[in-house]
Amino acid sequence: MRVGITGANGYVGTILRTAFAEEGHEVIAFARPNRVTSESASAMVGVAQWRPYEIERPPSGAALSDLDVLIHGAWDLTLVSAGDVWGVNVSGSQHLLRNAADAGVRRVIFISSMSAYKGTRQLYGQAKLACERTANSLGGVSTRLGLVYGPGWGGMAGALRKLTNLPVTPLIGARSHQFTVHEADMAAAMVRIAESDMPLPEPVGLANPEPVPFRRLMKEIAASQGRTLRAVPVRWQLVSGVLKAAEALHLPLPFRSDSILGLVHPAAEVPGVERLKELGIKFRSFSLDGDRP
Amino acid sequence: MPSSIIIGSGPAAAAAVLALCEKPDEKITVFDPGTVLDAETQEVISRLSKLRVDDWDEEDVRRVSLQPKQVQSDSLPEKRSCGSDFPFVNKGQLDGVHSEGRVNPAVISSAYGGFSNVWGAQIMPFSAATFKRWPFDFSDMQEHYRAILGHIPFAGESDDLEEWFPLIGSPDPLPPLAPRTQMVLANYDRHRDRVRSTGITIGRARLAFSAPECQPCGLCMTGCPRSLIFSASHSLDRFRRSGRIDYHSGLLAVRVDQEADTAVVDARELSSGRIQRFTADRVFVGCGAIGTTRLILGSLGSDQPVHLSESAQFVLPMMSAEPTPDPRTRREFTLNQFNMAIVRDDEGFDVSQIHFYPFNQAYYDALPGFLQHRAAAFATDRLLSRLTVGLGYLPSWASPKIRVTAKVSAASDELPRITLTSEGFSEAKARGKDVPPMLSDVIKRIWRAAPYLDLWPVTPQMLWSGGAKSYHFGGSFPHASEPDIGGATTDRLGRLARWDRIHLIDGSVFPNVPATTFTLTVMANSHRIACEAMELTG
Repeated sequence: MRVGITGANGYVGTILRTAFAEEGHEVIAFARPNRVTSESASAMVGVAQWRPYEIERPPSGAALSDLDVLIHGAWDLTLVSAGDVWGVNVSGSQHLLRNAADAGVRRVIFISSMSAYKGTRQLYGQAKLACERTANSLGGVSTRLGLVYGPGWGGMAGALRKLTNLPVTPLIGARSHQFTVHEADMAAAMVRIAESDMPLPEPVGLANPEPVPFRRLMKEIAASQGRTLRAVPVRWQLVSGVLKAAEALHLPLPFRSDSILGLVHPAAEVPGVERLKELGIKFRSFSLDGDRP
Repeated sequence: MPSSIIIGSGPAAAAAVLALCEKPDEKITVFDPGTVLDAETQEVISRLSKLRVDDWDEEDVRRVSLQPKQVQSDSLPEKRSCGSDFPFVNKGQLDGVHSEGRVNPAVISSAYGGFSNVWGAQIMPFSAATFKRWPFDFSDMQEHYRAILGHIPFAGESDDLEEWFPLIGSPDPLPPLAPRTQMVLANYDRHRDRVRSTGITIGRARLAFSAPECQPCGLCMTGCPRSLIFSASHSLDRFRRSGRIDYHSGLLAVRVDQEADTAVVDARELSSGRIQRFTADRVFVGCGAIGTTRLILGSLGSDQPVHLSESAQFVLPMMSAEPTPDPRTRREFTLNQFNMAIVRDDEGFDVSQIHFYPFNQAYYDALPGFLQHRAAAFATDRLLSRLTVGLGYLPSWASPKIRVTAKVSAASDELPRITLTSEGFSEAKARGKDVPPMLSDVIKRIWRAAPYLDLWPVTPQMLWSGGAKSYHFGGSFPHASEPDIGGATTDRLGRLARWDRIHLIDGSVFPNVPATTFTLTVMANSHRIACEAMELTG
């Protein structure tokens, strides 16, 4: 299959392009022109071709018509204002999904998040929900990724890992939980969904359905680095307020204030678990035992 | 061979044809004044519709995207259709029509397709509760709504508005919505319970346009250059191509009557002034509510004033604290994108509705002159990235009436002179002062919901439209269980007591006019009347 992946230079995109190439698929990587130099292009493992892509200027259907599968994972996480998130990330994603459907791409997969659930208060979750709605109305598939962890240590898991390196880790949402997915399981599931023609009209969660208490999650991340977690519970409103103030001052931050909401108000359950089982897709329980030094 | 004549070519006429075509041996004749877009512009449209938006010639685009024109102060400007005013042009149908005060005089269209050449393409059924005041109920209408929605392009999505306004058909999804629309919808989802507690429900637009073929170009409001927005002319074109109807243009109906079991129509040839007589088993009158009212008053020889119910219109600018990216740099589809229903009871009857439009050039043109100056660019940028405009409607029972006073001509081939006057809430003025009490309540509710939706009404800039400006009016001869012999009401088949072969099929037969979108119900009711009339003929 010829598989297009947007956001191919991101944490998830990198895992996916490697996995699809290993399965013998032809990977077309869509990435921001300024992120792909000739050296990095040649270093993109398994990438047959890269095409310049910017989320605010989605390619027309003609530029997608040679694809069998499009996986849309690009999302500009530097945008924090609601207007920019809706005007750039959502609008750009919706136009891309529509162009892909119009171009006759057989399988269009939108990478969503477990933060996207009805009633979410998080801007990120609401924005992903709006894109899911578009994807589903066009016959595409929305995959809600849990907290992706594994040897790459990118994304939110990577940010949490950095927190556990602090002498004292501020613990936000100590009574909360997360649904997790190992990098390898996420990639395998995505390959399986891309290869399959099974209709998936409702969003499916790519995560183990067993909620992992946040404190345990942080403990294990710390332990995987040979550390003992020293955590202090902190009110999330306080952290969120500080981050918002910093965002207003355009200071670079490892976390967005909006992400705090995702930590303290997670989804209640993983959707579509049974449906994915029909495709033979399962996710391992959370454990970092193998990663301990 | 049974025969029918349909007077008019607007949505009511198209729906009646759709129903009559079900009967294979029905001879169907349609006539109207038949004004159409000039040939040169049609050529441009034809050229544009074959190309992708990115390949359009700038001069072609400029030609078909003339902005609406201000024809009355303190009123919404008059739309143009692909640069033309042909839906409003007077070909004789407006001779003898006089309006007083701020009442809109351009109330009868001579266009092939009528005012559906410039409508907002919004389609939503009336609520079930609305029909409790009609001599038939929602279940009688449902199959006809379905027939119409199966016939016209339909885009929309499932949401909370379904609670009162069922989706009925199978719509195509809408094209990507503007950032402001998405933000309001997300805010609504997030604070749904609080917003609902104010009586406000929000949902996506439902539109009669071919959404899957839409390549957003931002020109919806000046006429889709690819003809994706439904016009009744599209339906009639189809019936003409299939040879199913006999269509005559250049004719203005001046009299209807019945002689024994034959319905008779006299129509004036607009080119020569000569009167032509048509006869058929049945006549369906769909000239638009005021056109039909005038024709019937003249045919009855009645000088008695009649009152039309109107769902009156207001324009409400709204501001948001959170900006969006500069809307002038974007190419969205610019039809209505989301609706706010302000429901004041438990059954969905006493409802006001506001349709929200994303940025289009008319926003900019409506700004005061100083804000269009280069020196004010900083302020204008910030204003436009926060501005949304709502086009609101009150139900007819909370709106002024339109009185139609006719002076019948002694000549039998002349339409009566009519005068249109606004009545009731007669002090209703512009700028939100002295408007119907319901409007104040509506605004109060919007204020209560504003912090949750980030949508703040700018009431000092509110515009209260003059009478007949909403184009949502009717009820001069309302359906009643038993039509009265005085000639003021019609039966469920749109027939006055005097004639059993002449059916009124447009808004003139509506017992009331709710604030919901109007045209879908005009079409569904016309379809119902034609279907039931055919059953009578057997």
